[in-house]
Amino acid sequence: MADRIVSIDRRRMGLLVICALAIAHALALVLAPLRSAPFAVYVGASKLTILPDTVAGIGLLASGLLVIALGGRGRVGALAMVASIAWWAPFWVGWEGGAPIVRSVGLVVAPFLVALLLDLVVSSTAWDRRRRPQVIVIGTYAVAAVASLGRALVRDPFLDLNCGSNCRDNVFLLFPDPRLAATLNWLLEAAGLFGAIALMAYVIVRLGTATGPDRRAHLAVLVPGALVALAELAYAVALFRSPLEGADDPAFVGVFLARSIAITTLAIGIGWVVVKARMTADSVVRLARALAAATGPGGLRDALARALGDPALRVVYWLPQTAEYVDETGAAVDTARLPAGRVATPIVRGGERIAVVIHQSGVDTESLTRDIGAAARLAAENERLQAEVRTQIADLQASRRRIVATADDHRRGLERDLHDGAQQRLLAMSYELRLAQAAAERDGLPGLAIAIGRASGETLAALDDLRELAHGIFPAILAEAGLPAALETLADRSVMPLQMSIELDHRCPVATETTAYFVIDEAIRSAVRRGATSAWVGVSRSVGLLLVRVEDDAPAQAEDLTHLVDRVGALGGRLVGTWPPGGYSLRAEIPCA
Amino acid sequence: MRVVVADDVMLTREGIVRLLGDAGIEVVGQAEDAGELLRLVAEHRPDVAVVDIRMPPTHTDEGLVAAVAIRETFPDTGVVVLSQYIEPSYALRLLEEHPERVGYLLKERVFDVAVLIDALRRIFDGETVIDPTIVARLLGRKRSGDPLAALTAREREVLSLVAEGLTNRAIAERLYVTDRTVEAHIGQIFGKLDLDESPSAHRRVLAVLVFLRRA
Repeated sequence: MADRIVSIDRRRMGLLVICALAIAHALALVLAPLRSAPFAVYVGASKLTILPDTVAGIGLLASGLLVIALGGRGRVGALAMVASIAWWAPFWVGWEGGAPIVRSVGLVVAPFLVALLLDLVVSSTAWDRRRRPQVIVIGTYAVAAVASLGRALVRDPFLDLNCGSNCRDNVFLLFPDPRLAATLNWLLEAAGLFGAIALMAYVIVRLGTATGPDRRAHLAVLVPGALVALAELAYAVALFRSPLEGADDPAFVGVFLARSIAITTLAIGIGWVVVKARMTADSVVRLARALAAATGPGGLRDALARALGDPALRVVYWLPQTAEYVDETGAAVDTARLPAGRVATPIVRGGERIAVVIHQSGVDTESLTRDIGAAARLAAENERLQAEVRTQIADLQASRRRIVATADDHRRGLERDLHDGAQQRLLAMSYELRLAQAAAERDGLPGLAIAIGRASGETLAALDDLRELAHGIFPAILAEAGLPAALETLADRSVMPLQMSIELDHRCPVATETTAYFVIDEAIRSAVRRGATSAWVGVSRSVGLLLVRVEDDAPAQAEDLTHLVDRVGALGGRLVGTWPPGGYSLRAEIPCA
Repeated sequence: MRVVVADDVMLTREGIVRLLGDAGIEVVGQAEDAGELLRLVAEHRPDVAVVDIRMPPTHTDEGLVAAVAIRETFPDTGVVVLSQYIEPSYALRLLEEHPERVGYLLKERVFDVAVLIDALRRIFDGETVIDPTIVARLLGRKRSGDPLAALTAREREVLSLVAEGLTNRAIAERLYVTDRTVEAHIGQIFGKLDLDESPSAHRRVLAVLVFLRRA
């Protein structure tokens, strides 16, 4: 309440005043001496009516306060409280020996009840097509105001035959006009009847045009509204038939009881609707907060850890495809073997186990499962899906790496096979031929010696070709001596001048160096194809990365380097080509642990 | 001359052994891996070891490592490393610590037994032997702003022979000029390339090879 008082605005001020008035009014009723009104009020005439009367009034007051306290529509709350004043106003009217001003005000206020109840029902069943009901509500108020105030001005209680014996005071009397007073009285009764019919009509239309959830939400107010309409209708009809409202007349008592009960149900209905709306809002807010909190990986884990006061708490998610539990990073976790003092509680959603919470023993797992609640289950499902995706991505990346590594291994194998196989055989052949040539020369067969010499020449040429082939498949020195040595050889063999700037103090993993080599090799070949006259190669290290740059001066358009992008991407690196003025620049970043 | 041959491929090893035998050179041991090689060298103290660069277990550069070890431990035993690869990097590694009494030859060159014998003899004499193909590869490297452009054709020839490890005398014989001429050429070359003319032949081989790589 404190901040309400601090940030006062006119509306709040108005509500506060109404609250105070209504409560003060109720308290005054308790304190005022009413014993001296034996039958001017129903309560005096029949003990039966005490409770319903009180309950109805208190109901209106309480529901009004509840609405305001829960932050609901202030208008509805105010109306309920003002209605409590109007409901109890007849007390003041029937107060024998009471202050005349009080009795007179009571008489003016009392007829507004039906209008207030109508307004209350219309206001608390928020409808978009509010225009027409509003018009009728205002109309009802207007008629009541005119008639009541007018009557106050012209009615002389002594001259009114329909007023009871204790009907003495009217401080507002301006000039007595019994005929006008009677007419206005009749008007008031007609207004009451009309108001009741209007309320009934509204309820019917509202219920009839509403669908599903809308209808359900407002049922608690509309059904009592219908009861109130019926009760007020009965009252109006009774008044028309017998204008002298006698508290000892059983019919009137019955009607009064009906009105009390109807108004009580209305008050309960309004309170119920407001509380329900508030509860829904609260749980939605809670859910939204919970979902918002559990967005990032591990968000649910953190929330649960805080809630249970267990910092070592873990949440692992069930992946049906691979039939294993993984944590938020996608790493597999064995839930069968837990550290000492840790137990596992499953999170179940829709009858299926979606996750497991690993926490300290001693926490009641049943209440934990219950308390985890819908929001946590939703968050768990969300995180499980994320973990699933992350696992798949990790698998994919590992697979890409393996594919590239396998291809490179295969190439190295081919090179080794060539070296150890065909090349060796040709070497042996060359030695044999040499020996045969020497023998032919010794034996005086120069022709044969020359022929064998030619064969040797062919053998050596074949060896040369094989060496080139093997080097193209995989440069052995790359695997044996690393990237810097392999790049030197590349420069030795290059058909165009290469400038190298190699700053590599630590070796990188084999896969990284191999990829870097092939990227540079291909980049230079591409430069040659595009007509470059020279190129610059830069290799250096950054934090966790091997940086490779190849710049050439070829003017032509760069070629499709998708295979290089794929190769570098398979290791988790990036490859980018740009066109600085006068050439082409290729830049690759490859992870190097 | 007493020689040990190490190569894990029997065909090649026996081929080399036969070539050497044919030329009258005594093969005192044959090895199939680096361990066996070192044992044989320790036992027989040959004049030269002929070693294949690629041997078990990893088949990468065991021969090179063993060669460096032999030079370290047995300074009187020279090493010729045979490789199927034209890799100046290996040659440079071989020369780095002990440039004398080492050689790097392409295996296919060995079929010409004269080449092998000549290499063995030069190593026995304490020189360095670098396969001409290696030198040609290094000289043939494309360079922008070629520092070798300042050299005449004859000077380039002399430079390549220096890189192969030949002594001034050997160069003079090869080019049919006098020692004095060769010395003059070398002085010119080293001056043009701004290299320190080191007195020992092996050191200058290394200097030239490194220069050719870096240029």
